[in-house]
Amino acid sequence: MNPNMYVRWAIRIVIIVALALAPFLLNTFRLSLLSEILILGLAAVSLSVLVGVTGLPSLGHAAFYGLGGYAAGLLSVHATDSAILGLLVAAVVGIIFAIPAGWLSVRTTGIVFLMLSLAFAELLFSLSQSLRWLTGGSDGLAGIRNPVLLPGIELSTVPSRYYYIAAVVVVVYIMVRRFVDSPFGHALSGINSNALRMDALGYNVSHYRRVAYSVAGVVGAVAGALNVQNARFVAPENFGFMTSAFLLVMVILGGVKRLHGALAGAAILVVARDELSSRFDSWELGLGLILVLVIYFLPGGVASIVERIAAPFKKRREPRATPLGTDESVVSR
Amino acid sequence: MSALLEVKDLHAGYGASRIVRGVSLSVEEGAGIVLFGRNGVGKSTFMQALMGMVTPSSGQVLLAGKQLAGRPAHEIAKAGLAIVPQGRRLFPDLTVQENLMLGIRQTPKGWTLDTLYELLPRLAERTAQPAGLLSGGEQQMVAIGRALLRNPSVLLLDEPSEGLAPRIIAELAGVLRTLRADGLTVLIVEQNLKLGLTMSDHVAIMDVGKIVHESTVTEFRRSPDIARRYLGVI
Repeated sequence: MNPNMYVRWAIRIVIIVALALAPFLLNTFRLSLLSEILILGLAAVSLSVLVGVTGLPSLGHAAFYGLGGYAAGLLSVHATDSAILGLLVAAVVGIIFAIPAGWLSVRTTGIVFLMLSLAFAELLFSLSQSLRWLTGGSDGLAGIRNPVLLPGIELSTVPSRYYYIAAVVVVVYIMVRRFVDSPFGHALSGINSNALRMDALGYNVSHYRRVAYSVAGVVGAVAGALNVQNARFVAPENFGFMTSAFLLVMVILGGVKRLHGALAGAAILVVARDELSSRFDSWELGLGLILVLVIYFLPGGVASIVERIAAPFKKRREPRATPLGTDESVVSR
Repeated sequence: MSALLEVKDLHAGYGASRIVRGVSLSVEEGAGIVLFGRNGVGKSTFMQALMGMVTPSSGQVLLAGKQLAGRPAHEIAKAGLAIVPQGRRLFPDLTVQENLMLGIRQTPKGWTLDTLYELLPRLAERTAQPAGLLSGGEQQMVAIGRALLRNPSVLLLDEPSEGLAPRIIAELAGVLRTLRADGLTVLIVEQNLKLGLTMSDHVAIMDVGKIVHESTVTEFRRSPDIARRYLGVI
Protein backbone atom coordinates (compact mmCIF):
# COMPACT_ATOMS: atom_id res chain seq x y z
CA MET A 1 0.00 0.00 0.00
CA ASN A 2 1.47 3.39 -0.96
CA PRO A 3 1.50 6.37 1.46
CA ASN A 4 -1.46 7.96 -0.32
CA MET A 5 -3.57 4.92 0.44
CA TYR A 6 -2.69 5.11 4.15
CA VAL A 7 -3.80 8.75 4.22
CA ARG A 8 -7.02 7.91 2.41
CA TRP A 9 -7.84 5.05 4.75
CA ALA A 10 -7.05 7.24 7.75
CA ILE A 11 -9.45 9.91 6.48
CA ARG A 12 -12.15 7.31 5.86
CA ILE A 13 -11.78 5.87 9.35
CA VAL A 14 -11.89 9.35 10.93
CA ILE A 15 -15.10 10.15 9.00
CA ILE A 16 -16.77 6.87 10.00
CA VAL A 17 -15.78 7.34 13.67
CA ALA A 18 -16.97 10.97 13.60
CA LEU A 19 -20.31 9.92 12.11
CA ALA A 20 -20.66 7.20 14.74
CA LEU A 21 -19.88 9.60 17.60
CA ALA A 22 -22.00 12.50 16.31
CA PRO A 23 -25.12 11.67 18.41
CA PHE A 24 -22.95 11.88 21.55
CA LEU A 25 -21.37 15.19 20.56
CA LEU A 26 -24.26 17.12 18.99
CA ASN A 27 -27.57 18.24 20.40
CA THR A 28 -30.79 17.06 18.76
CA PHE A 29 -31.12 20.13 16.55
CA ARG A 30 -27.54 19.86 15.26
CA LEU A 31 -27.98 16.13 14.71
CA SER A 32 -31.09 16.85 12.61
CA LEU A 33 -29.01 19.27 10.57
CA LEU A 34 -26.35 16.61 10.06
CA SER A 35 -29.02 14.17 8.89
CA GLU A 36 -30.23 16.77 6.42
CA ILE A 37 -26.66 17.39 5.22
CA LEU A 38 -26.20 13.66 4.60
CA ILE A 39 -29.49 13.33 2.72
CA LEU A 40 -28.98 16.41 0.56
CA GLY A 41 -25.34 15.40 0.15
CA LEU A 42 -26.40 12.05 -1.29
CA ALA A 43 -28.81 13.81 -3.65
CA ALA A 44 -25.99 16.14 -4.70
CA VAL A 45 -23.64 13.15 -5.18
CA SER A 46 -26.19 11.64 -7.55
CA LEU A 47 -26.36 14.92 -9.46
CA SER A 48 -22.56 15.00 -9.51
CA VAL A 49 -22.60 11.70 -11.43
CA LEU A 50 -24.52 13.52 -14.15
CA VAL A 51 -22.86 16.94 -14.05
CA GLY A 52 -19.30 16.22 -12.97
CA VAL A 53 -18.65 12.70 -14.21
CA THR A 54 -20.76 12.52 -17.37
CA GLY A 55 -20.91 16.20 -18.27
CA LEU A 56 -24.69 16.53 -18.45
CA PRO A 57 -25.78 19.72 -16.64
CA SER A 58 -29.17 19.13 -15.06
CA LEU A 59 -31.43 21.74 -13.58
CA GLY A 60 -34.19 19.26 -12.86
CA HIS A 61 -32.68 16.68 -10.56
CA ALA A 62 -35.45 17.38 -8.07
CA ALA A 63 -37.59 15.19 -10.36
CA PHE A 64 -35.89 12.12 -8.88
CA TYR A 65 -35.63 13.55 -5.39
CA GLY A 66 -39.36 14.27 -5.37
CA LEU A 67 -40.34 10.98 -7.00
CA GLY A 68 -38.38 8.99 -4.44
CA GLY A 69 -39.96 11.04 -1.69
CA TYR A 70 -43.52 10.54 -2.91
CA ALA A 71 -42.87 6.83 -3.53
CA ALA A 72 -41.64 6.32 0.04
CA GLY A 73 -44.38 8.56 1.46
CA LEU A 74 -47.24 6.86 -0.39
CA LEU A 75 -45.88 3.43 0.55
CA SER A 76 -45.83 4.45 4.18
CA VAL A 77 -49.36 5.90 4.09
CA HIS A 78 -51.02 3.10 2.11
CA ALA A 79 -48.99 -0.07 2.56
CA THR A 80 -46.05 -0.52 4.88
CA ASP A 81 -43.75 1.56 7.04
CA SER A 82 -40.74 -0.64 6.29
CA ALA A 83 -37.75 1.66 5.83
CA ILE A 84 -35.86 -0.65 3.48
CA LEU A 85 -38.93 -1.33 1.34
CA GLY A 86 -39.41 2.43 1.11
CA LEU A 87 -35.91 2.82 -0.31
CA LEU A 88 -36.36 -0.08 -2.73
CA VAL A 89 -39.69 1.21 -4.03
CA ALA A 90 -38.19 4.68 -4.44
CA ALA A 91 -35.29 3.19 -6.40
CA VAL A 92 -37.67 1.26 -8.66
CA VAL A 93 -39.84 4.34 -9.27
CA GLY A 94 -36.66 6.32 -9.98
CA ILE A 95 -35.52 3.89 -12.65
CA ILE A 96 -39.00 3.59 -14.17
CA PHE A 97 -38.94 7.35 -14.70
CA ALA A 98 -35.26 7.48 -15.66
CA ILE A 99 -35.48 5.01 -18.55
CA PRO A 100 -37.91 6.97 -20.79
CA ALA A 101 -36.71 10.38 -19.55
CA GLY A 102 -33.10 9.37 -20.15
CA TRP A 103 -33.93 7.97 -23.58
CA LEU A 104 -35.37 11.36 -24.53
CA SER A 105 -32.81 13.53 -22.75
CA VAL A 106 -29.39 12.07 -23.49
CA ARG A 107 -29.76 12.62 -27.21
CA THR A 108 -29.10 16.23 -26.30
CA THR A 109 -26.33 17.91 -24.35
CA GLY A 110 -25.57 21.33 -22.86
CA ILE A 111 -28.32 23.90 -22.64
CA VAL A 112 -30.93 21.70 -24.38
CA PHE A 113 -30.36 18.89 -21.87
CA LEU A 114 -30.55 21.45 -19.07
CA MET A 115 -33.91 22.78 -20.30
CA LEU A 116 -35.31 19.27 -20.82
CA SER A 117 -34.33 18.29 -17.28
CA LEU A 118 -36.04 21.43 -15.98
CA ALA A 119 -39.14 20.63 -18.04
CA PHE A 120 -39.41 17.10 -16.58
CA ALA A 121 -39.14 18.41 -13.02
CA GLU A 122 -41.71 21.14 -13.65
CA LEU A 123 -44.04 18.57 -15.20
CA LEU A 124 -43.85 16.44 -12.06
CA PHE A 125 -44.24 19.55 -9.90
CA SER A 126 -47.51 20.37 -11.68
CA LEU A 127 -48.71 16.76 -11.51
CA SER A 128 -48.02 16.59 -7.77
CA GLN A 129 -50.18 19.68 -7.33
CA SER A 130 -53.03 18.58 -9.55
CA LEU A 131 -53.31 14.91 -8.47
CA ARG A 132 -54.71 15.97 -5.12
CA TRP A 133 -56.40 12.59 -4.46
CA LEU A 134 -53.01 10.89 -4.58
CA THR A 135 -50.47 13.41 -3.43
CA GLY A 136 -52.48 15.75 -1.24
CA GLY A 137 -51.89 18.56 -3.74
CA SER A 138 -50.13 21.70 -2.58
CA ASP A 139 -50.87 20.78 1.06
CA GLY A 140 -48.48 17.89 0.74
CA LEU A 141 -48.84 14.26 1.77
CA ALA A 142 -49.71 13.83 5.40
CA GLY A 143 -49.91 10.74 7.56
CA ILE A 144 -46.46 9.35 6.84
CA ARG A 145 -45.44 7.10 9.72
CA ASN A 146 -42.08 6.63 11.38
CA PRO A 147 -40.02 4.20 9.34
CA VAL A 148 -39.49 0.75 10.79
CA LEU A 149 -36.07 -0.79 10.19
CA LEU A 150 -36.92 -4.32 11.34
CA PRO A 151 -40.04 -5.63 13.10
CA GLY A 152 -40.04 -3.92 16.48
CA ILE A 153 -37.29 -1.42 15.60
CA GLU A 154 -39.12 1.81 14.89
CA LEU A 155 -36.94 4.79 13.95
CA SER A 156 -38.88 7.20 16.12
CA THR A 157 -36.05 9.26 17.59
CA VAL A 158 -33.66 11.69 15.92
CA PRO A 159 -30.54 9.62 16.80
CA SER A 160 -32.06 6.36 15.54
CA ARG A 161 -33.08 7.96 12.26
CA TYR A 162 -29.65 9.62 12.04
CA TYR A 163 -27.84 6.25 12.32
CA TYR A 164 -30.14 4.76 9.69
CA ILE A 165 -29.56 7.74 7.33
CA ALA A 166 -25.80 7.75 7.90
CA ALA A 167 -25.56 4.02 7.21
CA VAL A 168 -27.59 4.26 4.00
CA VAL A 169 -25.65 7.32 2.79
CA VAL A 170 -22.26 5.70 3.49
CA VAL A 171 -23.22 2.44 1.75
CA VAL A 172 -24.78 4.17 -1.29
CA TYR A 173 -21.87 6.61 -1.54
CA ILE A 174 -19.38 3.73 -1.60
CA MET A 175 -21.44 2.06 -4.35
CA VAL A 176 -21.49 5.28 -6.39
CA ARG A 177 -17.76 5.75 -5.79
CA ARG A 178 -17.06 2.23 -7.06
CA PHE A 179 -19.25 2.87 -10.08
CA VAL A 180 -17.35 6.07 -10.91
CA ASP A 181 -13.97 4.38 -10.40
CA SER A 182 -14.91 1.36 -12.53
CA PRO A 183 -13.99 1.06 -16.23
CA PHE A 184 -17.59 2.13 -16.94
CA GLY A 185 -17.03 5.28 -14.88
CA HIS A 186 -13.77 5.96 -16.69
CA ALA A 187 -15.65 5.69 -19.97
CA LEU A 188 -18.11 8.28 -18.65
CA SER A 189 -15.20 10.59 -17.78
CA GLY A 190 -13.90 10.07 -21.29
CA ILE A 191 -17.31 10.94 -22.72
CA ASN A 192 -17.38 14.05 -20.56
CA SER A 193 -13.95 15.01 -21.85
CA ASN A 194 -14.59 14.24 -25.53
CA ALA A 195 -17.66 12.28 -26.63
CA LEU A 196 -16.58 12.01 -30.27
CA ARG A 197 -13.23 10.50 -29.28
CA MET A 198 -14.97 7.90 -27.16
CA ASP A 199 -17.36 7.16 -30.03
CA ALA A 200 -14.34 6.49 -32.24
CA LEU A 201 -12.96 4.15 -29.56
CA GLY A 202 -16.07 2.00 -29.94
CA TYR A 203 -18.20 3.37 -27.12
CA ASN A 204 -21.92 3.88 -27.71
CA VAL A 205 -22.04 7.31 -26.07
CA SER A 206 -25.86 7.48 -25.81
CA HIS A 207 -25.98 4.10 -24.07
CA TYR A 208 -23.36 5.16 -21.52
CA ARG A 209 -25.15 8.45 -20.88
CA ARG A 210 -28.48 6.64 -20.42
CA VAL A 211 -26.95 4.32 -17.82
CA ALA A 212 -25.37 7.29 -16.00
CA TYR A 213 -28.72 9.09 -16.09
CA SER A 214 -30.44 6.03 -14.58
CA VAL A 215 -27.82 5.58 -11.86
CA ALA A 216 -28.08 9.27 -10.94
CA GLY A 217 -31.87 8.96 -10.96
CA VAL A 218 -31.96 5.91 -8.69
CA VAL A 219 -29.57 7.45 -6.17
CA GLY A 220 -31.46 10.75 -6.28
CA ALA A 221 -34.72 8.88 -5.62
CA VAL A 222 -33.16 7.01 -2.68
CA ALA A 223 -32.04 10.35 -1.23
CA GLY A 224 -35.57 11.69 -1.70
CA ALA A 225 -36.99 8.65 0.11
CA LEU A 226 -34.55 9.14 3.00
CA ASN A 227 -35.64 12.77 3.25
CA VAL A 228 -39.32 11.83 3.52
CA GLN A 229 -38.64 9.00 5.97
CA ASN A 230 -36.76 11.51 8.10
CA ALA A 231 -39.17 14.47 7.81
CA ARG A 232 -42.36 12.36 7.47
CA PHE A 233 -43.69 14.90 5.01
CA VAL A 234 -43.51 15.45 1.29
CA ALA A 235 -44.86 18.35 -0.77
CA PRO A 236 -44.66 19.54 -4.39
CA GLU A 237 -41.70 21.75 -3.41
CA ASN A 238 -39.60 18.57 -3.39
CA PHE A 239 -39.94 18.68 -7.19
CA GLY A 240 -39.47 22.45 -7.23
CA PHE A 241 -36.99 24.52 -9.18
CA MET A 242 -35.34 25.74 -5.97
CA THR A 243 -34.62 22.15 -4.89
CA SER A 244 -32.92 21.46 -8.23
CA ALA A 245 -31.06 24.76 -8.11
CA PHE A 246 -29.80 24.15 -4.55
CA LEU A 247 -28.58 20.67 -5.52
CA LEU A 248 -26.66 22.18 -8.42
CA VAL A 249 -25.24 24.88 -6.13
CA MET A 250 -24.04 22.14 -3.73
CA VAL A 251 -22.24 20.36 -6.57
CA ILE A 252 -20.58 23.59 -7.73
CA LEU A 253 -19.65 24.69 -4.20
CA GLY A 254 -18.10 21.33 -3.42
CA GLY A 255 -16.36 20.88 -6.75
CA VAL A 256 -17.89 19.58 -9.94
CA LYS A 257 -15.05 17.15 -10.63
CA ARG A 258 -15.04 15.60 -7.17
CA LEU A 259 -17.76 13.24 -5.99
CA HIS A 260 -17.10 13.88 -2.31
CA GLY A 261 -17.27 17.60 -3.06
CA ALA A 262 -21.04 17.28 -3.36
CA LEU A 263 -21.21 16.24 0.30
CA ALA A 264 -19.03 19.21 1.27
CA GLY A 265 -21.27 21.48 -0.81
CA ALA A 266 -24.35 20.16 1.00
CA ALA A 267 -22.70 20.86 4.34
CA ILE A 268 -21.86 24.44 3.34
CA LEU A 269 -25.35 25.13 2.03
CA VAL A 270 -27.20 23.70 5.03
CA VAL A 271 -24.91 25.39 7.56
CA ALA A 272 -25.05 28.70 5.64
CA ARG A 273 -28.83 28.49 5.49
CA ASP A 274 -29.05 27.73 9.21
CA GLU A 275 -26.59 30.41 10.28
CA LEU A 276 -27.63 33.14 7.83
CA SER A 277 -31.41 32.70 7.94
CA SER A 278 -31.43 33.32 11.70
CA ARG A 279 -29.61 36.64 11.19
CA PHE A 280 -30.85 37.97 7.85
CA ASP A 281 -34.14 37.99 5.99
CA SER A 282 -32.52 37.13 2.65
CA TRP A 283 -30.11 34.35 3.48
CA GLU A 284 -29.90 33.46 -0.22
CA LEU A 285 -27.99 36.71 -0.68
CA GLY A 286 -25.23 35.39 1.58
CA LEU A 287 -25.29 32.04 -0.23
CA GLY A 288 -24.91 33.87 -3.54
CA LEU A 289 -21.90 35.70 -2.18
CA ILE A 290 -20.31 32.44 -0.99
CA LEU A 291 -20.96 30.91 -4.42
CA VAL A 292 -19.33 33.85 -6.21
CA LEU A 293 -16.29 33.71 -3.92
CA VAL A 294 -15.89 29.95 -4.36
CA ILE A 295 -16.20 30.14 -8.16
CA TYR A 296 -13.75 33.05 -8.28
CA PHE A 297 -11.10 31.85 -5.83
CA LEU A 298 -11.66 28.08 -5.80
CA PRO A 299 -12.77 27.04 -9.27
CA GLY A 300 -12.29 23.40 -8.27
CA GLY A 301 -14.70 23.82 -5.34
CA VAL A 302 -13.98 23.59 -1.63
CA ALA A 303 -12.97 19.94 -2.03
CA SER A 304 -9.97 21.13 -4.03
CA ILE A 305 -8.53 22.81 -0.91
CA VAL A 306 -7.21 19.48 0.35
CA GLU A 307 -5.59 18.75 -3.00
CA ARG A 308 -4.03 22.23 -3.09
CA ILE A 309 -2.51 21.66 0.32
CA ALA A 310 -1.27 18.18 -0.68
CA ALA A 311 0.04 19.27 -4.11
CA PRO A 312 3.58 20.35 -3.06
CA PHE A 313 4.13 17.05 -1.20
CA LYS A 314 2.73 15.06 -4.12
CA LYS A 315 4.96 16.76 -6.70
CA ARG A 316 8.04 15.78 -4.77
CA ARG A 317 7.12 12.11 -4.99
CA GLU A 318 6.06 11.98 -8.65
CA PRO A 319 8.69 10.60 -11.04
CA ARG A 320 10.09 13.02 -13.56
CA ALA A 321 9.22 12.60 -17.23
CA THR A 322 11.84 10.51 -19.01
CA PRO A 323 13.71 11.87 -22.00
CA LEU A 324 11.32 9.97 -24.27
CA GLY A 325 9.58 12.78 -26.12
CA THR A 326 10.36 16.22 -24.83
CA ASP A 327 8.70 18.07 -27.67
CA GLU A 328 11.70 20.29 -27.99
CA SER A 329 11.50 20.72 -31.73
CA VAL A 330 9.38 20.17 -34.75
CA VAL A 331 10.61 17.48 -37.04
CA SER A 332 12.40 18.39 -40.21
CA ARG A 333 11.70 16.48 -43.34
CA MET B 1 -4.73 -10.06 -52.83
CA SER B 2 -8.21 -8.62 -52.14
CA ALA B 3 -8.68 -5.18 -50.58
CA LEU B 4 -9.38 -5.27 -46.85
CA LEU B 5 -10.39 -1.62 -46.79
CA GLU B 6 -11.92 -0.15 -49.91
CA VAL B 7 -12.98 3.47 -50.19
CA LYS B 8 -15.08 4.42 -53.21
CA ASP B 9 -15.80 8.00 -54.27
CA LEU B 10 -16.01 9.30 -50.70
CA HIS B 11 -17.25 12.85 -50.18
CA ALA B 12 -17.25 14.58 -46.78
CA GLY B 13 -17.03 18.03 -45.24
CA TYR B 14 -18.34 20.40 -42.63
CA GLY B 15 -21.65 22.08 -43.42
CA ALA B 16 -21.41 23.66 -46.84
CA SER B 17 -17.64 23.15 -47.01
CA ARG B 18 -16.73 20.19 -49.21
CA ILE B 19 -13.35 18.98 -47.97
CA VAL B 20 -13.07 15.40 -49.23
CA ARG B 21 -14.15 15.34 -52.89
CA GLY B 22 -14.45 11.84 -54.22
CA VAL B 23 -11.59 9.86 -52.70
CA SER B 24 -11.14 6.25 -53.80
CA LEU B 25 -8.46 4.10 -52.20
CA SER B 26 -7.80 0.41 -51.63
CA VAL B 27 -5.80 -1.01 -48.74
CA GLU B 28 -4.89 -4.67 -49.02
CA GLU B 29 -4.58 -6.91 -46.02
CA GLY B 30 -1.14 -6.55 -44.45
CA ALA B 31 -0.32 -3.48 -46.53
CA GLY B 32 0.94 -0.13 -45.34
CA ILE B 33 -0.21 2.96 -47.20
CA VAL B 34 1.04 6.42 -46.43
CA LEU B 35 -1.10 9.38 -47.42
CA PHE B 36 0.86 12.56 -48.05
CA GLY B 37 -0.44 16.02 -48.83
CA ARG B 38 0.02 19.66 -47.99
CA ASN B 39 -1.70 21.17 -44.97
CA GLY B 40 -5.41 21.70 -45.44
CA VAL B 41 -5.96 19.36 -48.39
CA GLY B 42 -8.38 17.18 -46.40
CA LYS B 43 -6.22 14.29 -45.11
CA SER B 44 -7.45 14.45 -41.51
CA THR B 45 -11.07 14.99 -42.61
CA PHE B 46 -10.70 11.90 -44.81
CA MET B 47 -9.44 9.85 -41.85
CA GLN B 48 -12.26 11.17 -39.66
CA ALA B 49 -14.79 10.33 -42.36
CA LEU B 50 -13.45 6.76 -42.46
CA MET B 51 -13.96 6.53 -38.68
CA GLY B 52 -17.44 8.08 -38.80
CA MET B 53 -16.29 11.10 -36.80
CA VAL B 54 -17.33 13.19 -39.80
CA THR B 55 -20.39 11.89 -41.63
CA PRO B 56 -19.68 11.33 -45.33
CA SER B 57 -22.16 12.98 -47.70
CA SER B 58 -21.75 10.18 -50.24
CA GLY B 59 -19.51 7.29 -51.20
CA GLN B 60 -18.63 3.92 -49.73
CA VAL B 61 -16.26 2.65 -47.07
CA LEU B 62 -16.03 -1.14 -47.20
CA LEU B 63 -14.14 -3.11 -44.57
CA ALA B 64 -13.88 -6.75 -45.60
CA GLY B 65 -16.89 -6.09 -47.83
CA LYS B 66 -18.99 -4.59 -45.04
CA GLN B 67 -20.37 -1.11 -45.71
CA LEU B 68 -19.36 1.35 -42.98
CA ALA B 69 -20.01 4.80 -44.50
CA GLY B 70 -22.69 6.66 -42.59
CA ARG B 71 -22.57 4.29 -39.60
CA PRO B 72 -21.93 5.76 -36.13
CA ALA B 73 -18.27 5.88 -35.09
CA HIS B 74 -18.67 3.28 -32.32
CA GLU B 75 -20.06 0.75 -34.81
CA ILE B 76 -17.18 1.44 -37.20
CA ALA B 77 -14.73 0.95 -34.34
CA LYS B 78 -16.41 -2.33 -33.42
CA ALA B 79 -16.23 -3.42 -37.07
CA GLY B 80 -12.44 -3.21 -36.88
CA LEU B 81 -11.12 0.27 -37.66
CA ALA B 82 -9.09 2.11 -35.03
CA ILE B 83 -7.55 5.53 -35.20
CA VAL B 84 -4.60 7.18 -33.51
CA PRO B 85 -5.86 10.74 -33.81
CA GLN B 86 -3.80 13.77 -34.63
CA GLY B 87 -2.50 15.37 -31.44
CA ARG B 88 -2.79 12.10 -29.44
CA ARG B 89 -6.08 13.10 -27.77
CA LEU B 90 -5.58 11.23 -24.51
CA PHE B 91 -7.70 11.78 -21.42
CA PRO B 92 -5.25 13.77 -19.31
CA ASP B 93 -6.91 13.14 -15.93
CA LEU B 94 -6.95 9.37 -16.36
CA THR B 95 -3.83 7.32 -15.69
CA VAL B 96 -1.85 5.60 -18.43
CA GLN B 97 -3.45 2.25 -17.60
CA GLU B 98 -6.95 3.74 -17.45
CA ASN B 99 -6.41 5.36 -20.86
CA LEU B 100 -5.21 2.07 -22.28
CA MET B 101 -8.08 0.12 -20.75
CA LEU B 102 -10.56 2.36 -22.54
CA GLY B 103 -9.30 0.79 -25.76
CA ILE B 104 -9.49 -2.87 -24.73
CA ARG B 105 -11.47 -5.13 -27.01
CA GLN B 106 -10.94 -8.77 -26.17
CA THR B 107 -10.14 -11.09 -29.05
CA PRO B 108 -8.89 -14.69 -28.82
CA LYS B 109 -5.51 -13.82 -30.39
CA GLY B 110 -4.57 -10.21 -30.13
CA TRP B 111 -3.09 -7.44 -28.07
CA THR B 112 -3.46 -7.52 -24.32
CA LEU B 113 -2.08 -5.14 -21.72
CA ASP B 114 0.76 -7.59 -21.04
CA THR B 115 1.84 -7.92 -24.68
CA LEU B 116 1.49 -4.17 -25.13
CA TYR B 117 3.77 -3.48 -22.17
CA GLU B 118 6.31 -5.85 -23.74
CA LEU B 119 6.25 -3.73 -26.90
CA LEU B 120 6.25 -0.43 -24.99
CA PRO B 121 8.08 -1.14 -21.71
CA ARG B 122 8.27 2.56 -20.84
CA LEU B 123 4.48 2.59 -20.39
CA ALA B 124 4.69 -0.32 -17.94
CA GLU B 125 6.73 1.94 -15.65
CA ARG B 126 4.12 4.68 -15.79
CA THR B 127 0.83 2.83 -15.46
CA ALA B 128 -0.39 4.90 -12.50
CA GLN B 129 0.72 8.28 -13.82
CA PRO B 130 -1.89 10.69 -15.22
CA ALA B 131 -1.56 10.75 -19.01
CA GLY B 132 -1.52 14.55 -18.98
CA LEU B 133 1.85 14.49 -17.17
CA LEU B 134 3.59 12.36 -19.82
CA SER B 135 5.98 13.73 -22.42
CA GLY B 136 4.76 14.06 -26.00
CA GLY B 137 6.49 10.86 -27.11
CA GLU B 138 5.06 8.86 -24.23
CA GLN B 139 1.60 10.23 -24.94
CA GLN B 140 1.91 9.12 -28.54
CA MET B 141 2.86 5.62 -27.37
CA VAL B 142 -0.25 5.54 -25.14
CA ALA B 143 -2.39 6.68 -28.08
CA ILE B 144 -0.93 3.93 -30.27
CA GLY B 145 -1.29 1.38 -27.46
CA ARG B 146 -4.92 2.34 -26.90
CA ALA B 147 -5.67 1.85 -30.60
CA LEU B 148 -3.78 -1.48 -30.71
CA LEU B 149 -5.77 -2.81 -27.75
CA ARG B 150 -8.85 -2.52 -29.93
CA ASN B 151 -7.18 -5.24 -32.01
CA PRO B 152 -8.17 -3.53 -35.25
CA SER B 153 -8.19 -4.99 -38.74
CA VAL B 154 -6.87 -1.67 -40.03
CA LEU B 155 -5.01 0.92 -37.97
CA LEU B 156 -5.37 4.55 -39.03
CA LEU B 157 -2.62 6.90 -37.86
CA ASP B 158 -3.13 10.62 -38.28
CA GLU B 159 0.23 12.40 -38.24
CA PRO B 160 1.80 10.36 -35.43
CA SER B 161 5.11 12.28 -35.58
CA GLU B 162 3.52 15.70 -35.17
CA GLY B 163 5.31 17.77 -32.54
CA LEU B 164 7.87 15.10 -31.65
CA ALA B 165 11.63 15.46 -31.54
CA PRO B 166 13.69 13.60 -34.21
CA ARG B 167 15.09 11.17 -31.64
CA ILE B 168 11.59 10.29 -30.53
CA ILE B 169 10.40 9.89 -34.11
CA ALA B 170 13.15 7.31 -34.63
CA GLU B 171 11.84 5.39 -31.64
CA LEU B 172 8.27 5.73 -32.90
CA ALA B 173 9.36 4.47 -36.34
CA GLY B 174 10.88 1.40 -34.68
CA VAL B 175 7.61 0.58 -32.95
CA LEU B 176 5.58 1.11 -36.12
CA ARG B 177 7.96 -1.03 -38.18
CA THR B 178 7.59 -3.85 -35.63
CA LEU B 179 3.83 -3.64 -36.00
CA ARG B 180 4.07 -3.67 -39.79
CA ALA B 181 6.42 -6.65 -39.68
CA ASP B 182 3.78 -8.46 -37.62
CA GLY B 183 1.37 -7.97 -40.53
CA LEU B 184 -0.74 -5.11 -39.23
CA THR B 185 -2.62 -3.26 -41.97
CA VAL B 186 -1.91 0.45 -41.65
CA LEU B 187 -3.11 3.64 -43.31
CA ILE B 188 -0.99 6.54 -42.15
CA VAL B 189 -1.31 10.25 -42.79
CA GLU B 190 2.10 11.83 -42.32
CA GLN B 191 3.98 15.04 -43.01
CA ASN B 192 7.33 13.44 -42.30
CA LEU B 193 8.33 11.84 -45.62
CA LYS B 194 11.08 9.70 -44.15
CA LEU B 195 8.89 8.16 -41.47
CA GLY B 196 5.99 7.67 -43.87
CA LEU B 197 8.09 5.96 -46.51
CA THR B 198 10.02 3.67 -44.18
CA MET B 199 6.90 2.06 -42.78
CA SER B 200 4.80 1.78 -45.95
CA ASP B 201 4.82 -0.05 -49.22
CA HIS B 202 2.38 2.21 -51.04
CA VAL B 203 2.11 5.99 -51.34
CA ALA B 204 -0.96 8.08 -52.05
CA ILE B 205 -0.95 11.86 -52.40
CA MET B 206 -3.97 14.00 -51.70
CA ASP B 207 -4.55 17.44 -53.13
CA VAL B 208 -7.69 19.59 -52.77
CA GLY B 209 -9.75 16.70 -51.43
CA LYS B 210 -8.75 14.14 -54.09
CA ILE B 211 -6.14 11.43 -54.54
CA VAL B 212 -3.86 12.73 -57.28
CA HIS B 213 -1.13 10.12 -57.17
CA GLU B 214 -0.79 6.47 -56.19
CA SER B 215 2.28 4.31 -56.51
CA THR B 216 4.53 1.94 -54.67
CA VAL B 217 7.17 3.45 -52.39
CA THR B 218 9.89 2.34 -54.82
CA GLU B 219 8.19 4.13 -57.74
CA PHE B 220 7.68 7.23 -55.61
CA ARG B 221 11.35 7.33 -54.67
CA ARG B 222 12.28 7.13 -58.34
CA SER B 223 10.06 10.11 -59.24
CA PRO B 224 11.24 13.15 -57.27
CA ASP B 225 9.14 15.45 -59.49
CA ILE B 226 5.95 14.04 -57.91
CA ALA B 227 7.01 15.07 -54.42
CA ARG B 228 8.13 18.42 -55.81
CA ARG B 229 4.85 19.05 -57.62
CA TYR B 230 2.39 18.03 -54.91
CA LEU B 231 4.29 18.39 -51.68
CA GLY B 232 6.64 21.28 -52.40
CA VAL B 233 9.64 19.15 -51.47
CA ILE B 234 12.84 20.29 -53.18
